[in-house]
Amino acid sequence: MVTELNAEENMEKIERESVLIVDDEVDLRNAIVAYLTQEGYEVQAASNGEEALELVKTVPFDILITDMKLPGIDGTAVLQEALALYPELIGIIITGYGTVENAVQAMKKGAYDYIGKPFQLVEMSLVVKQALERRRLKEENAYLKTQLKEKYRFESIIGSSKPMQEVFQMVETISGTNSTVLITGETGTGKELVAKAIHFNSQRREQKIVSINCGAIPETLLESELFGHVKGAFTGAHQTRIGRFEQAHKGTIFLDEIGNMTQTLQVKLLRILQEREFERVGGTETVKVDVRIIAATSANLKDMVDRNEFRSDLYYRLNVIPIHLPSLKDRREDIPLLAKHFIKKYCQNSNLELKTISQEAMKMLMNYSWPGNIRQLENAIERGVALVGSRNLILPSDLPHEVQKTNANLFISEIYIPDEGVNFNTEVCFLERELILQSLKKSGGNKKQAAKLLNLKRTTLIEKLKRLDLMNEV
Amino acid sequence: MDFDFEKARFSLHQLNNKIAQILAYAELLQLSLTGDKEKERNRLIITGALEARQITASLMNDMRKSEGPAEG
Repeated sequence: MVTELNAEENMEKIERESVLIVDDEVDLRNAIVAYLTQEGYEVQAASNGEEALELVKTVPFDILITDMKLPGIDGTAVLQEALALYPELIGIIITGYGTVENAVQAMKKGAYDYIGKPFQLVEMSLVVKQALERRRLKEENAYLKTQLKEKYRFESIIGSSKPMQEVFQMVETISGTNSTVLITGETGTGKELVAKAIHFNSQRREQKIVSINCGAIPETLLESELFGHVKGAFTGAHQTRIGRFEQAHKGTIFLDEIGNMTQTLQVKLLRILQEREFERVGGTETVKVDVRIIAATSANLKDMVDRNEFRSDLYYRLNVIPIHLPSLKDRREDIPLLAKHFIKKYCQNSNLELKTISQEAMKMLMNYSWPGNIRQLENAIERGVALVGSRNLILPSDLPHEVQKTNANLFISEIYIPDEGVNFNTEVCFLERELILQSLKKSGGNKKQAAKLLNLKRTTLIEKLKRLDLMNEV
Repeated sequence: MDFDFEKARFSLHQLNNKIAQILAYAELLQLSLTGDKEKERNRLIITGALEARQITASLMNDMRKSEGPAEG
């Protein structure tokens, strides 16, 4: 019991911020010590620079408050030596009215702030609190940056399937370059995640990656959003505003759903790709930017070019390095890995004990077509974790209705792997073809109904019909 | 007789130190006082010290204007 109490006391001691007060005027020094101690700080005091430096060498203080004028070594020199030992130390200089200029010099040498004498103790306490808050935010910022980099390392993108391994290889290869990248893939396949992985593995990683979904912003606003506008450019433009391209200067811009851009914007984007310059909406000044462009689309840009809906010169400029992300049904072997990853994520988010998933539920996940790809799988798992309650096992009944309707035994009962093995992609392609043919038969050739039966968008079904050369079957 | 700026600046500096001392201990006292009357009287000490601070600051500024920038 005694040991426990001591441990608690020690913990409390460690958590309290430590302050060193250096002042040769004993009465004022004692008053500051008493006040800050009452405020909850661990306070020590020194009457001169030499004594202060001795203490600094033995105790890693959080804050050093020192009078500028001290007998012997002055306050600035004490602070400089202390900062050399502990760069994270917060230095506050106390100055008389005649030494403000010197205090400004001290700030240039690393002091956080200065406070003029005579001051109220409450003012000093406020400066200390603000300094600690700023340091906390700085530390939090550094931590979040590390977390962000960790999150978007390409090693953290889940997938052991061959198509994903090829994607990882490509991301690794191109990360060191500044080339424009075009990421294609169905919605929910993780295009933004891959774009961020490219950015955070590139030399631009210390700068921003600015994302914009060109399909989510009304056409009339997109130009101003991308390129900014000058004051008075249009009704409501009360002040000059920089656009996403300027925000991403020195970093990366991720243009999602690039196929939704109007022809006018396509011309402007082409100029950026060629010259790295543009004018803000309503402006005449040319703005130059150093930006890496990563574009993405779920549409078939080549087809759009053929239909004159997308500029061919822009297409070729964007398509310098193409990366295609496979849809989830084309990498079903990654589903167990992804499912476990999301279960862990949502259990952690909700402070729950780690749950597992029943074999039957996993089979359903494996057999479902996932038209919304990884995003849909993630949502399904999030729902499963939310509904599992006190059980440890996620059951089929915890999965979304459309997934529950999947025949869990489809693959097991209908697919036989001979001794010499199978070509996975061919088999999957065959199954896809079978499903589409069955759905068309069931719907009497009605594509809309067939798409509904397969939980696909009509346009996606048509794309598949074309890809699988089944258009004549309709 | 010429005005001794150096001596005046030193005196103001000393005065500031005394004001700092009065302010600091009045603030500490404020934390431990419980009676309303005592707290009000102590608040008057703090207000007086803060006004004295403004006066010394104003004097220091006037001297700076007359003499040019002060040295640290």
